[in-house]
Amino acid sequence: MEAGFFAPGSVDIWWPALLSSVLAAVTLGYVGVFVLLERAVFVGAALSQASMLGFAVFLLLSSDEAPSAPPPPPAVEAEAPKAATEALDDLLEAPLETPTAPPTVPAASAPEAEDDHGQHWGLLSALLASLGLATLLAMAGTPKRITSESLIGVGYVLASAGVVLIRDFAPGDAAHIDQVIFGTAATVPKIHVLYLTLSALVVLGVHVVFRRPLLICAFDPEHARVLGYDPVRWNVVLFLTFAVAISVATQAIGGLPVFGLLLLPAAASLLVTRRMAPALIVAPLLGAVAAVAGYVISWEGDLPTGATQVACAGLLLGACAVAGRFRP
Amino acid sequence: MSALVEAVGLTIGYAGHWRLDGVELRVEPGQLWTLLGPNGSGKSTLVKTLLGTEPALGGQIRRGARGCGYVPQRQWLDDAYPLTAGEVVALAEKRTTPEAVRKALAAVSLERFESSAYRNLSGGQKQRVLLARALISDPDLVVLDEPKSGLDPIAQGEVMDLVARLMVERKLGVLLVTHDISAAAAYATHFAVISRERGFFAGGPAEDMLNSDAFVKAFGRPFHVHQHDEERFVYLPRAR
Repeated sequence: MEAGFFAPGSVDIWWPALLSSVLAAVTLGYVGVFVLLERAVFVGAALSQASMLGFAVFLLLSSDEAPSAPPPPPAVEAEAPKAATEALDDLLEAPLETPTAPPTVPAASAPEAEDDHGQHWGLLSALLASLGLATLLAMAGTPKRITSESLIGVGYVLASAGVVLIRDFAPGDAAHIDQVIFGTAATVPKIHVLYLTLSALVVLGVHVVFRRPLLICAFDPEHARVLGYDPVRWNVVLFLTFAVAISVATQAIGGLPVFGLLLLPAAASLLVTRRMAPALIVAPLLGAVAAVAGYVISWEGDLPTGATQVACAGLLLGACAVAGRFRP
Repeated sequence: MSALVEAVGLTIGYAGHWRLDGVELRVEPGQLWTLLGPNGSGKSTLVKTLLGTEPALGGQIRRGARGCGYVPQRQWLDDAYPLTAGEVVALAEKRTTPEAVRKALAAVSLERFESSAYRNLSGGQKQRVLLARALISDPDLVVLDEPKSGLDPIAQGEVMDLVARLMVERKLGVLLVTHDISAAAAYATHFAVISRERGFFAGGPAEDMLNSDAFVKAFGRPFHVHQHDEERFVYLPRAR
């Protein structure tokens, strides 16, 4: 049975994934503008890796408690949403008296199988790892002997190595780890919609309430000190918002789309806007457009969802680069 | 006349690294103090201590100003941020109005650049925007840290003329940190010279300071002073 995007059975599968992508894209697009302006592009990659390391550590520690770990994604279905629907269709169409094979049901299509408790702890572990790294990177400033880029690189490579080692050490959890690294934007457990909504509220709330100190400490730290703000402390706050946005989104949709949706819409926005406020509105909008377009295209074309979303964001960046050149 | 800021027996420095004792300074309304010293002499540390962003190691600082505007070195500002001149000015105040921003920009003759991107302005215009930002809270003391660095001579003159005009119009006290003794001498009512390496600080009215050996003690070399039609020229003669 062919399962179109708008087919009755499909909506139940794609809505948590699509909504998760949009929520992640909006939050990442917003903080992405600050990431680019702070010249902290690789902070995004390092925080994403730290988040994966935190999650891998959680899997390692809970590997003998199978029920507490999130359910593994199907090997192929995770990145091909239509295939996931077809698997569901196959299951639904199977004769009642014939036992079917439950493992072919995609994780997102069987929410009752989700273990929210395991998801909570997995996310918390990922969040703590990235918050820790963000705090270290923000407080380290610019040491005299090595550049701040070097510190970010150290954080990135150590976190990456940790993930690979744990993946090797606990091969039973390799599928979970791959799910987070390469993205699972096709099928996302519903609980992540809640996590991403909370993450968006916290991150955007902090940026709205503390707009002035965040901006002045980033733009002019010397003047900020005279006004009574501690630039190091506010830099930590800024980096913590990066960590929350990146780690929660990484758990939901995976590392690749997170990095893409963090950078590309923000870069596109800065190419077509001239002021801070419009840049902070346009970037989340472009991110949401890329997330939706990428999801629908990947569904209809049986393409990897995260990579398709990143490709769409790349196309938007190209269009904005051209549009930016023709701006008066 | 009451002091806007006064250092009495002040000790500045960084505990465990270096310290400089005996800093005496008193800035009053209508005075333009120029703080001079070689590179790494402690000028910025003194200014930060007077502004309260670095702790004093000893002595007293009396602050009588109702407000202090600060113009940092432009190199510390991150031009990547797409802020307009108006937004840069507005950042200085928690609650401000568009009228107050326009008024501050008008004081430096930049009202028509309110919506222009700060990063696209010339060096001199950027410096005037930062001066407008320092003025938005209507302070009676303004501290400028190297306001002329990176500016061509015309822009330097414009900025200094503007500072001198505002000082007279608003009865401001001004503390100016600079390396450029030649340009500063034309506007300064008072000089302070500092050298932490030589453990030396002296400050006072411009004429007294120029006729003293303070510059030799701070810089290790004498400066020549020429007076011509009420204009003062100070320069470092060639070493022989």
